[in-house]
Amino acid sequence: MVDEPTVVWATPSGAPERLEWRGRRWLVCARPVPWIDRVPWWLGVPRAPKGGAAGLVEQPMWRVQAMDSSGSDVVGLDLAVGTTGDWWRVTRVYE
Amino acid sequence: MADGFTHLDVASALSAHYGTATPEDLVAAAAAAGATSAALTDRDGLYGAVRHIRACLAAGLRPIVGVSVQIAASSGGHGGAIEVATRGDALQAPSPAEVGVLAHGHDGGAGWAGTSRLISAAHHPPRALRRVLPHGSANRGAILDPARFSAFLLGPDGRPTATVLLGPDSDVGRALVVGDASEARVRLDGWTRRLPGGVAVEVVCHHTRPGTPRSLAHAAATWQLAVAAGVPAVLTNQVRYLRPDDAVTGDVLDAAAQLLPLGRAVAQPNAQAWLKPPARMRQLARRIADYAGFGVVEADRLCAATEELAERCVLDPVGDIGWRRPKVPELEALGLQGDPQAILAGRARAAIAWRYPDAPSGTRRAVEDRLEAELRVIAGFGFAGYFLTVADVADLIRGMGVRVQARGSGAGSLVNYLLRISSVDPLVHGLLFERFCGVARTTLPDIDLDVEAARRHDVDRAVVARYGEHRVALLAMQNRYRARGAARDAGLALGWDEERIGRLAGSLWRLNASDIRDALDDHPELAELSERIGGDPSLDLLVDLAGRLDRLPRHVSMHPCGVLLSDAGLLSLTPVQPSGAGVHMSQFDKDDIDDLGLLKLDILGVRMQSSLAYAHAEIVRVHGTRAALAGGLPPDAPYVAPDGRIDLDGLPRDDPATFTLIRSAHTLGVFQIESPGQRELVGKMQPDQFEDLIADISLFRPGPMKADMVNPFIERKLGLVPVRYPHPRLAPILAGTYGVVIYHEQVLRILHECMGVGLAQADELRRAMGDDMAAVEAAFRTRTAARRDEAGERVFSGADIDRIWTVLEGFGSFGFCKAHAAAFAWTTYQTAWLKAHYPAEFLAGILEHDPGMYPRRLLMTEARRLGVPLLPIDVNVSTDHYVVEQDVAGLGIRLSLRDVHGITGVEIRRILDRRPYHAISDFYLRAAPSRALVTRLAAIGALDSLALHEHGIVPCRDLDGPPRTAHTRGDVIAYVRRLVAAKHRPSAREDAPPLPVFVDDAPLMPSGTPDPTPLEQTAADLDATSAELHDHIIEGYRPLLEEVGVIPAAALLDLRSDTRVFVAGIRVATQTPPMKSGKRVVFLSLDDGSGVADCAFFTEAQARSGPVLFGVPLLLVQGRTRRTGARGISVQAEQAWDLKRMWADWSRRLAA
Repeated sequence: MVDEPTVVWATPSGAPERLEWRGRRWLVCARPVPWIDRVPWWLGVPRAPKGGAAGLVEQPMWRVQAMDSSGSDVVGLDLAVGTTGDWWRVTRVYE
Repeated sequence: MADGFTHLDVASALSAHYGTATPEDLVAAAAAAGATSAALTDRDGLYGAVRHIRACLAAGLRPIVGVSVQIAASSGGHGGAIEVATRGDALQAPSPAEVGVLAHGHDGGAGWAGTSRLISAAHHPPRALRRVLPHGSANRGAILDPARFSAFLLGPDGRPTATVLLGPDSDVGRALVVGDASEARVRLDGWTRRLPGGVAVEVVCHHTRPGTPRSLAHAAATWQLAVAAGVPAVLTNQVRYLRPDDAVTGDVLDAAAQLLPLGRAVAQPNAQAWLKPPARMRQLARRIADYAGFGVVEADRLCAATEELAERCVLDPVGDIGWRRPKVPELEALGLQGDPQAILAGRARAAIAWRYPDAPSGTRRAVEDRLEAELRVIAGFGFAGYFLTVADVADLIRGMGVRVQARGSGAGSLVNYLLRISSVDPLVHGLLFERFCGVARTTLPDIDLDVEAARRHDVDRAVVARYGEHRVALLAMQNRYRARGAARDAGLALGWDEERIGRLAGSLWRLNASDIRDALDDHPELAELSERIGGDPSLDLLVDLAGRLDRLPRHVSMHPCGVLLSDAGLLSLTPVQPSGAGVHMSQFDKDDIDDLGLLKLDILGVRMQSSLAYAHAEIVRVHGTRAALAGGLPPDAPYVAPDGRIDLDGLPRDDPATFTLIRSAHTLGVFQIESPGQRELVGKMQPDQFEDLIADISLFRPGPMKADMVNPFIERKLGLVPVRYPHPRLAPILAGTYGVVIYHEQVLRILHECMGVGLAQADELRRAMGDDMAAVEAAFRTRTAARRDEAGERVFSGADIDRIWTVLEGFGSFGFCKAHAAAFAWTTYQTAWLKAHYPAEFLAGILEHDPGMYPRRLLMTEARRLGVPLLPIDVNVSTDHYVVEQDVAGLGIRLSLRDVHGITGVEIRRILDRRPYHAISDFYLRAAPSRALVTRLAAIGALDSLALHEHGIVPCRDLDGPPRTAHTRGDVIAYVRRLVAAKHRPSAREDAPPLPVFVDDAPLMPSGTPDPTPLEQTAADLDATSAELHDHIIEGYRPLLEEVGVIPAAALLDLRSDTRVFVAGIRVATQTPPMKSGKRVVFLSLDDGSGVADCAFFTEAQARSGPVLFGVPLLLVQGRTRRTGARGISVQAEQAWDLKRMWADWSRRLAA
C-alpha cells in the first residue's frame, strides 16, 4: 500500500485516461473499473451531526491498468479521485 | 411498473446494531419513491414485521416480509468467512454465511408460518451447531443447517412457500468471491434441489474494492451464474440505512457490535447500502449488465424478475396472519366444553351469592342488572373465551398458593370481580365496564395480574405446563439507547478510555441521547464536567455520534411480565427464541400484539405481593391462633381464621388505626405512598376514607401535579374552599371527589349525562380528547344543547355548557382510570393495615423482599423508630431470611446472614446445616467459612454469642439479662485474627493427624482487648453489610454536627415555618419530578437515624451546590423550614455540602 501523488487526465465522465506518477507518464490501457472506498472519518473530522455527514465516509476510486510510455511496464493501480483539480493519489500498486 | 423498483433486502434498526432506520421511515421513503410494495428483511427475526405491515397499510403499500439468517457450514466449501478487511488486527471468529428468506403471500399464511418456524429453529440450534461465541452482538446466535430449510419452506404439495435469496454472503456468493465458480455452481444446485422453484440469486453491487464481496465483478459473476444455471436472479441493494449520511451511524453501530473502537473494528466497505431510488437501481442494473457482457434487455429482465418475486411475496394481512382477529386458547385447553358464553354466564351468576352475601334486595338487583349488561357486551364481541382463559390463569396461580390480583381498568368489570380475577368491588367504587371494554374495541382487552415477585417464574412455568408450549410464549421488549448508553458506546467507538467515558456517562441522568448537548449547557452539576472534558475536541464529535444513536434499539430482551396465550397456532404466527427464563419468547413486543389479535396477559412480579405473603406467613407462624389478639383486632374478626390465617383481601376498608398511620405520613414501606412527595401529599390531604386513597394515587402523577389539580382537591376536602359543582346534575358524579374531576369514569359519566350518549361511546370521546379536542368540543356543545326535559326545556343552558366544558377541557388528559387506582389503593391499604397492626411482621416482609424505593438500612432505621428491635446477625440463630423473633423487648427481627458481603449460598447452607456451634474455633472448623467471611462475622458481632465460655465453664445467665461474656468483642476480633493467620486451617478430616482439637477457645482467647470505637464499628458494619448494625453513620460526625448546629430530622416538625436550619444525613432518595413551572427542582431525602429530612433545591440552590447534589452520599444542607400541612415539613434548601470533605477539613484544622 502506498500514498503517492499523481496528476490525472480524465474523460468528461471522470474515467482516468492518462497520468503522471513517479516522474513518468502512463497511459490507462484497459477499461478502468470505478469503485468506492471508505475513509476513517473518525480520525480527523470535528463534527458529524445527523444529516450533515453525507460526504464523510466515502472515497471514489478507480482501478486501472496503466502502461508506461516505453510500453514495457504495466502496473495495476488504485487511484483515489482528488478533490482539488487534477491531483489524485495512488493508494496501491499491483505489480 | 416500468420504472419502479422494489427493494427486497432491507434491514431496519430492529436488526440490532446493524440497521439504522425505523420500519416506518423505510416505508415512508419507499412510498415517496413511488413504490407499490415494500419489504422488510431484518436479521434473525420478524422483530419489525408488524410495524412494517402497519406502516404499509397506512401508506397504501403492499407489505412483504422476510428474514436474513445465518447458515451452518456444510463439510468443505466456503461456508466459512472471507475477511474483507485488509487491516488484519481485528481478531474475528470467522462469521457464518447468510441467506435471505422471503415469505410468499396470499397462501393462507403458509409462507409466514414456514418462515416463522424456520426462524424459531434457527434460534434453537442443535448442540453440534452451537458455537462458543465471544461477546458482542456482532456474534449472532441464530443459525440453521441448509438441509433443514425444505422442512419449513415446502408445502404439502412440494411447492415452496417462500423464496430463499442467495446473495453475496451466502455459500454460493462466497465461493464466487474467491473465484471458485464450480463450487458455487455445486452449492447453487444443492439449493435448487432442496427447494425447487423456491430459490433466487441475489445480485448486489456496492461498488466495493474489486475482488471483494459486492464489487461490480462479484455482482456480475453472481448474475452470470444464475443465468447459466437457469435460476431467477433479482437485484437488491442489501439496505441497512436510509441515506448515505446514516453510514456514519452504521459505523458506530458496527464498532459497538464488535466491542472495539473504530479503526480496530471491521468496518463496512463504504456507504452504498442505502435505500437507493428506482432510477439509480435501474442504472445500477445496466452498469452490472455492461460489466457482465449483458445488454439492456437483460438489465430490464433483472429488474422485472425482482418485481415478479415481489408480487409473489405480497402478504394478505388478514388472510395470511389473521390481522386484528382475536385468537384465544381453545376451550379444550381450559378443560371445558360447550358454549363459552353460557359457561361464563353460569359461573358469574353463581358467584353473586359469594361476593354479595348479605346484600339487600336493591343492591342485589343492581348487581344482577350490571352483570347482565356486561355479559351482553361480552357476547357481542365474542370475548367469553378470553374471560374464561384469564379466570383459569388466576385460579391456576391461586391454586399454587401464590397471591394474585388484577390491576388496571380490568378492575372495573363486575365479571372480573365475580370470577375472582380482581379484588375490587366495581359497584361500591363506581367503576365502569365501558372504561375497560368499550364499543369500538375489536381486539382483546388488556388485563394485568400482579403476583408475588419471588414466584413469578414458577407461575410462568405453570402456565406453560397447563396450556402447552405451542400456546404460550413470553413477550419481547426492545431496549433502546438512552443518553448514558449512547454516550458510552459513542465514547468506546472513538477510543476514549473507560474512566473518561464513565465520568461522562455517569452524570447523564434520565436523558434522551439527543438532549445531551443541551444538558451539558444547562445543568449546573454538569458544568464542571463539561469544562474539564470540553478541552477535548472529540467531545463534540462524541455528542454528535451519541445523538445518532438516540432511541435506536440496542438489544432485545424478555419483557418482564408479558405472556402470550393463544390457540394452538401460535408458533405459526410468531417466531420464538430463548428468553433466558426457561420459557420461550416471541419476537414481537407489546405494540405488535393488538394487530396480531393475540391475548397478552401481563403477569407482573410485584415484590410488594411477595412481602405481603411473607408478612402473612410470619404472622401465622409466630402467633397462630392468637393472631387477632396480637394485631389488636377484635377476637371475632371475620377476616381472621381460627388458625390465625388472615384474609388480606377481605379486610374492612375503614380501619381507624390504618388511616391514623397513613395520616401520620410515617409511610415508609407502604405501597405507593412512601416517596417524599407522596408523604407530603398524604400529610396535606389527611385521608380518612378509602376513596381518598384512590384519589391520592390518581393525583400523584406528573399531569395533575403540573396542572395544579391537587391543591383544589385538598382545599375542598379540608373544607377551606366550598364544594361547588359545575351543574347540579353532576353532583352525584363528583360528590365523592368534592366536586373535582379526577377520574376517566367521571368524564364518561359527565359526557353521558350531558350529551345523552352511551357510556361506551363516551369512552371513545374521552380518548378522542387527546387527539382532536376541537372535534369533541363541537360534538359536546351541539348534543348537550339539544338535550330537552319532559317539558321540552333545555336541560343545560349556554352558560352551563361553557362552565362544564371548561372543566372537561381543563381535565384534558390528566384524568386517571379509577379502576386502576382502586386496585393500587387496595394494596396500599393492605400494607398500611399490616404496618399498623403487625409492624414487626410487616417490616420483616419488607426487608425480605425489598419492594420499595429505599435502601435496606433506612428500613432498619424505620424499624428502630417503631421500636422493633433488630436482633444482631448470629451464626447460631440467623438464617438466610429475616425472621420475626420474640425478644425481651418485644417482637424483633433477626437479621439475615444474606446481608454479609461476599457470603455465598454454599457458605450459608453450611452454616445452617452444621449448627449449633459451641465455640468460635468449632464454627471455623465445621462451617468452614472463608477467612474473609469469618473476619467480617467477627467484626459485626456475629460470633459474640460463641464467646460465652470462661475457662470452659458457662457462667450463669440472668433469666432477664443479656448473656454475659467474660470476653469483649475486641477479644473475639483479635482471636479470629489469630485463627485466620494460622497457615493451615484446622480440618475436620477423619484421617488427619491428631491436631489439638479446639473444643474450647478459652485458653487461647485473649482477654481485655478494647472494643472497636463507634466510628470503627460503624465502618465495619457498613463494610460488612452496607447497613449500620449499631450506630447510624452520621454519629461519626457528631462533633462537627454539634458545632454547626445541625438539627435531627425528627425535630423539624416542632419548628415554625421559615426557620433557618442545618440538617445532615445520608442520601436515600434523589428525585426530579416534573414541575408546573417546567424548571427543574431536585428533591433530596436525608436519613440521619432519627428520621428523614426532605430537602428541595430550586435553581439557585442547585447552582450553589454544584456536583455535590448528585454525586455525594453524605450531605450537610442549609435551608429554611417549610410546613406542608398538618403533619408535613420540609426544608427549602439554600446549599448542600459534602459532609465527608467538611469533616476532613475540620479535623485537619483542629489538629493543626
